[in-house]
Amino acid sequence: MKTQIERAARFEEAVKTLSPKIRAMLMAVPTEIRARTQEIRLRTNSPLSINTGKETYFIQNKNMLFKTPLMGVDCLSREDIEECFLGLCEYSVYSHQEDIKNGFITIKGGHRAGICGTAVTAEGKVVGVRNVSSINLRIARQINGAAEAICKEVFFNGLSGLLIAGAPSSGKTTILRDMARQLSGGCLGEPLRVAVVDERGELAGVYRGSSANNLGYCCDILNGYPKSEGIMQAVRSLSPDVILCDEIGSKEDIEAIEMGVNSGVSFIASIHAASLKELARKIQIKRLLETGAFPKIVLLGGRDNPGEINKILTEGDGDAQSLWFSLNSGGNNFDGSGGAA
Amino acid sequence: MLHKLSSRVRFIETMQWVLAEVKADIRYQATPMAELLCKLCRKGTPPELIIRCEEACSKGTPFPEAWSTAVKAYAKPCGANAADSEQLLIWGKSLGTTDIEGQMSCCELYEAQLRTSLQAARENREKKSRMCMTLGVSAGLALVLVIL
Repeated sequence: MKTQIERAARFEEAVKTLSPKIRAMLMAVPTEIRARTQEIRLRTNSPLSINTGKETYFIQNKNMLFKTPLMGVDCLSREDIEECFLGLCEYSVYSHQEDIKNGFITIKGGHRAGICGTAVTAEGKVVGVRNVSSINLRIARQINGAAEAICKEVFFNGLSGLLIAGAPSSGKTTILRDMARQLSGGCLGEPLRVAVVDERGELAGVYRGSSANNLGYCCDILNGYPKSEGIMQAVRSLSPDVILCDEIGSKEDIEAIEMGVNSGVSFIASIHAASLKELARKIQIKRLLETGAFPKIVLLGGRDNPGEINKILTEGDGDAQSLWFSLNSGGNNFDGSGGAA
Repeated sequence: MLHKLSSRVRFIETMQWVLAEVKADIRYQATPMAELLCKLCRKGTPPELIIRCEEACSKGTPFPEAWSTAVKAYAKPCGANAADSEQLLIWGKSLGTTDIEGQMSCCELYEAQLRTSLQAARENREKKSRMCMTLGVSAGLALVLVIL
C-alpha cells in the first residue's frame, strides 16, 4: 500500500509540469493505475494515453479510460502539446536547449520527457526541434531493493565491473539507481566511494543542485556531464571505487572507460540490448568488453518483467565464451545456448 | 505630476538593471525563469511587479500567467505608463520561449525600447519641471502684483 502511494506521488510529481487541462485529466485516473503508470503519451490529434508496461489506456469522454481509442473524441490540439512542452521546460526553453537537441527533457524528480517534432538542422546536425508534435513522459521510480538480487548474485565475491543489458523499460535505470544507493550505503561491507555520471539527469534527478533520489551518503553525482567527460573528471578528482553510468556505447565513452580501468576504478553501466543475440550484434560491444571493465554481464527480462534477471554471464562461462566467439567472428552467429554457433 | 514623471524615470532605470541581469544570466547560466526571478529579488530591489511575479511562480503559477497578472496589477503603481506596460507584456510573452540566441534578440529589442522610453521620460520630466517652475514664478509674480 505504501509503495502504491509512493508511486502515485511520483506520478503526481511528474504531471505537475504539464498544462492544467492535461494535469486535470491525468489526476482523474484511479490511484491504482497511476501507481502502475510508466509512461504518459501526448500526441497531436490523438487522445491522451498512459502506459503501465502491460496495458495502454486512452483517457477520453469525461476522463474515462478506454483500452481502444474512440475516434475523434478528446484529441489533443497543437496548443495543448505546445503548452505542455513549455511547462516541461519550466517556461525556459533556453535552459534545456542542449537536452532538446538530443530529443528529451529531464524534469524535477528525474522524470524524462522524450520530445518529437520537426528537426531544425544546421550543417547536417540537429540544432533544435520546432513544432513539437508528441511527448512521451516517463515516470522515474526509485525502488529501494531493486538491485538487491543482482548485488547478491554478482558481487558475492566482492565488487567487480558489471554491464547491465536490457530492452527499453526493462528497469536498467531503476537498478542502477538502487545499486548506487546500496554500494554507497555499504551493502558489500564498507561503504564504497561511488561516482554517478548522470548525463541525462535520470539517475539522481538533480533539481536546483539537490538530488531527488536517494543515492546514499558516499555518492558523488556528476550531473549533466557528457559520460566520457564525467568519467574522466571523476577519475581525476573524486578517486571513486566505482563509477556508474547509464546507456554507454559511444567511442568516447569506451576510451574514457579504458582510462578509468587503467586507474583501477570499477565500472557499472547499462546498455540497450533486449537479448544476448542483439548484444552480440552491437558494433561497440567488442571494444567495450576488450577494455576489461565488464567481467560480468546481466541480461534483464523484457518490459513485461522489469528488473527481473534473465541471465548472468561471467567471464569464462559458456555463454560468455560463446558471446566472445561471436564477437570475434562478426557478431552474427550467436545462438545464446552456451556454445559457439 | 512631477513625482509621477520622476517615478516613471526611476522605473525605467530599474527595468534596465533587471534586463541587464536577465540577459547576463540567460547567456551565461541559462537559469530557468522562476529561479532567475528569485535570484533577482535576492540580489537587489527590483520593481514590485517582479517581486509579485516571483511570488506567484514560487507558488506554482506558470511564468506567462504570473508575468501578465503582475504587469497588469503592479506596473502602473510602479510608475509605468500604458506604453511601458504594453512593452513589458510583449517582452514577457517572449521570455523563456526560445533558445539563448532567440532570448538575446528579444532582450536586445526590449533594451532598445527602454533606451528610447528613458530618453523620452527624462526629456518629458525636464520639460514639465521647467514649465512648472515658470508657472510657479508667474503665479508668484501675479500674486505679488495683486497684493500691491
